[in-house]
Amino acid sequence: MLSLIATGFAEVCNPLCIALIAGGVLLGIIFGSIPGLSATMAVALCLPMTYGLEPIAGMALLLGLYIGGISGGLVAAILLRIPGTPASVATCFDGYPLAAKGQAGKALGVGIFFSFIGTLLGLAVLMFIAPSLASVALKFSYYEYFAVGVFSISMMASLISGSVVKGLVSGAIGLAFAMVGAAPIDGIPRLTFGFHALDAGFDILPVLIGLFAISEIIKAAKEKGKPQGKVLQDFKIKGFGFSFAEFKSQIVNLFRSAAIGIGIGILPGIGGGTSNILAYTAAKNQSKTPEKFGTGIIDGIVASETANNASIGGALVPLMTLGIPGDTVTAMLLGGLMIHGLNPGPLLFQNNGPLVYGIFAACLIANVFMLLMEYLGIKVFARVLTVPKHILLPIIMVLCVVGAFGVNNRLFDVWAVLFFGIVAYLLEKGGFPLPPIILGFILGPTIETNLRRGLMQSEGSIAPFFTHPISLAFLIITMIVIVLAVRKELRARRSNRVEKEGKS
Amino acid sequence: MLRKYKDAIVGGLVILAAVGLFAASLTIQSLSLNLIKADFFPKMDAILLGILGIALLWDGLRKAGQASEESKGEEKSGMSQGTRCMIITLALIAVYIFCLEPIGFLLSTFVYLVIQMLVLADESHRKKKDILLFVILSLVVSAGIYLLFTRVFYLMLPSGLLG
Repeated sequence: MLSLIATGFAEVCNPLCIALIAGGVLLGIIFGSIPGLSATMAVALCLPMTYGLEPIAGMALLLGLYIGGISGGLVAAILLRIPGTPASVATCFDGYPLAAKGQAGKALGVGIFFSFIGTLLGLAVLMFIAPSLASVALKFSYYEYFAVGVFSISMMASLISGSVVKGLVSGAIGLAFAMVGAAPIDGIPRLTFGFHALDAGFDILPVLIGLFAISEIIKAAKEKGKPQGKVLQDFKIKGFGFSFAEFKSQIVNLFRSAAIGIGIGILPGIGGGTSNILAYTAAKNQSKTPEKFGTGIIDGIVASETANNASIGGALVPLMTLGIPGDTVTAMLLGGLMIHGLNPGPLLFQNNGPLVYGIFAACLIANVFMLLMEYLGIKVFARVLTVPKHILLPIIMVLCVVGAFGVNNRLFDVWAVLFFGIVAYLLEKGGFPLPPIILGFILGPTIETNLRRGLMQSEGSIAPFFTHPISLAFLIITMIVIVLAVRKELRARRSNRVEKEGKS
Repeated sequence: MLRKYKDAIVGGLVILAAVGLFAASLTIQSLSLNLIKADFFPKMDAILLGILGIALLWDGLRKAGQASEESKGEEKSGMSQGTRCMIITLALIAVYIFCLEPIGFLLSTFVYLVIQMLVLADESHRKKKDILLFVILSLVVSAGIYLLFTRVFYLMLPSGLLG
């Protein structure tokens, strides 16, 4: 194990990789800290730059962006009370009140330090369990992969939004987009409506940029005229702003939040965006003084920032061992690997061991850069927050266009970006969550290929999907998750109605 | 009125999409030598989408029935400033993409950036000083991106008139 990790470090310890990691972390923090720009967007925009790089160098850049982006959200959450990314929603709850009390330095220090520890714990778990999980996954056949794919989409669909039905619709729409172009196995063109540009289907990058970047720009245009928040600029940061006694008081909270973050990260489809809120709620419920939460105590910041960063390591587990993304950013990392002809999954550990451990090493290095850069450059990042949206967004738009154009050197993909941006905006307006679309789009081919191959092997019988124990287990869990989510929704609605009737 | 039926309308649209997907799947040719053909999965997805759409429609109609007389007077007449800004932005992006190839990346990006910044900025940010800033920024950004991607990442961007 140790020698493998040493190999990993040897892979990334060259000037190019280190520079890419550092640059990635820096850019990631900037994207993370500006509300409306997210880690997902940063990775999508930088993906085209990795085409010309070696796989490990490309991954080094993308992982730097990921780790910087998730952590960077805390800057805006604390100084602006607007989460920089969905992963730092709960950081606002106590971070801003603490900053408003004149202790912004302390709030930032705590957030940065526990981001670092959270990432570290998540990565430790990743390195510890991923190899053994991969060897189990090696035994998976078509049936298991089909079941895991279905499980992943329904998991995300039912957990991420208020409405299970709408979440599932999003997943189904993602599947439909994935079907455009040549069908797997026999290559028959489908749903191209005569456009030859669609013969190869939609590329993942235009879909991602459209869904996560263009829709943001459309939204921002719609919100024109609403005042931007005021950034607290006047603060001092000394040390990490907290004492050893305070650190000791947070140890239970730290490990609980890290465990929540890692667990949520491993579950396919959901990541830091969900885990920070869950960890915050858990910390509040377990606290002896829950009434203090929300007034600016460090417990809330610790819970949120530990959990969202711990989710990074967790989200990489299913990606590396099964080729199933743990959240939207890892969905793009999957794309980044596939561009280089690498298929994440159990075979990656066998065939590309040094790359796998190189990825682990890159994450560890990125984490150290994140700590240093956020600590030393916090004043700069606070300044970045004051850059007005009307200057920032047009530039982002141009980068989207360049990124999409770069996929195949054709304008068609740029039009696709605009198309998906409008679709995403309308779907969000209709109350449909976007992440299941991405998961559906990415897992569609996996699910279909394995379903068709499985059915061919069994000569049309669906029995093997239910007789293979692992496949059966995943399908049963899928059913349970959906039923529970529907029940919860129905119950919430009923109590709503009772309340309403009580009022009238 | 419309707001009340929003969920039902959304459900109806999902059903329409499902029907469309199913109809489109019917045109997929299939090689008879395969047991499970290429149109199998699209049809399954369409059926799933249809069922979900019916659930949304049913639920939306019920909700609309309950909501009856509540939440009236929320609708605004005419177009809000935001909606207008959004439509202009979308049109602007479309024109920009359309011009990329004939006019070239550098020129069309510069023009797009200046106009888009003006469109998104509110009144207080449209003074002479701001406009000068927009122009300089647009020039630097479009040239910077062009050089970065063509020289460093070896990506061919449309050169158009200046090429």
